[in-house]
Amino acid sequence: ELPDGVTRPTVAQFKQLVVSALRELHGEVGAALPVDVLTYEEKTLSAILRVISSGFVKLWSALTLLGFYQNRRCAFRVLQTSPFLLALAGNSRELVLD
Amino acid sequence: YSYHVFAFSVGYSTVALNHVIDFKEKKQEIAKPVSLLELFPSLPIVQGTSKRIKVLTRLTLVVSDPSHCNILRSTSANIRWFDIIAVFPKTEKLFHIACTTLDVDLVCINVTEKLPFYFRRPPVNMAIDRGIYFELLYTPAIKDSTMRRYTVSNALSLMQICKGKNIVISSAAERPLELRGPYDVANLGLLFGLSESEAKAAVSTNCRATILHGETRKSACGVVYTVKKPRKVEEEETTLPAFKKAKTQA
Repeated sequence: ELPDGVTRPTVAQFKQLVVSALRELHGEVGAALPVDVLTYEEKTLSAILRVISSGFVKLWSALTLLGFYQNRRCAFRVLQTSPFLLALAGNSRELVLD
Repeated sequence: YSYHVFAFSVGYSTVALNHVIDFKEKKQEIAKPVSLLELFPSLPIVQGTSKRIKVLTRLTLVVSDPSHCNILRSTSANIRWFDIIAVFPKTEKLFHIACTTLDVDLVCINVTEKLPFYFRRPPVNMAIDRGIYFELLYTPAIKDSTMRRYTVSNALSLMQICKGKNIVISSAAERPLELRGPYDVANLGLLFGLSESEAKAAVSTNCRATILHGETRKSACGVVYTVKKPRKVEEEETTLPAFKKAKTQA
């Protein structure tokens, strides 16, 4: 999430943002973690990332603690995590009780 | 107060508004918290359930002197308006006092600078027995990288002493963008050295226990229970603090 009025990042900038978040929190070893951006929607600013399971905690914590993008405040909201891509199709948190 | 709009949209069911009182200034009076109805005309519904979000009030006392603690014992009527009371000790003596004798629900652990004192095991164990929780903040970790270092180092030293029990992780967010979802915060607990189940508990069950602790502290002033010893026929009467349940034995 970004505040209003900030230019939205492109795919490459987004990937660079993720890698720099890892570098800030976990250093060079963290930045070397192989992360893939599978999809990226610029309109909704949402993406699907893939990472090796041993690096999962590092990536998630680095994204949570990222505070600034181009000197403006930003926030990463992790909507869903799952080891299977198909599970991301349905969000169990959006189910509503009658 | 748009961050409450965010809070339930990311999955929180209860939010506590914090009022900080700093005793360094003279003549600090504890102000009555703003009435909740003025802030939100209608509380929105939590995502995933059909209940509305609950908003509680919380008071944080920044104490750097033992005389500041007297405000807790005084019968100031304003204290009763707050659901949760937290204390922020600045010295080792005050930390000891807060863990052992003060009537609070949370003890805040400073994350923004190097702790001037080391944690010792006896007061921490006493606090765990009394049901007091230690609170860590995660918002400074988002703002500044030096604060991140202090957050992690202080959290790790606390973990070594208390072995991950009685921890609550909370946000001192001042803007909606500083808030993070509950699962994200539980993941931060893993960074601080908690195990997975402890990390999730730090966000969910421990917080609920703190709220209940505050309720018991507000409601009862003393409990009397009698114990009959099985062999001797004498009876004992003891007064217990409010948060221990009454036991009766035949």
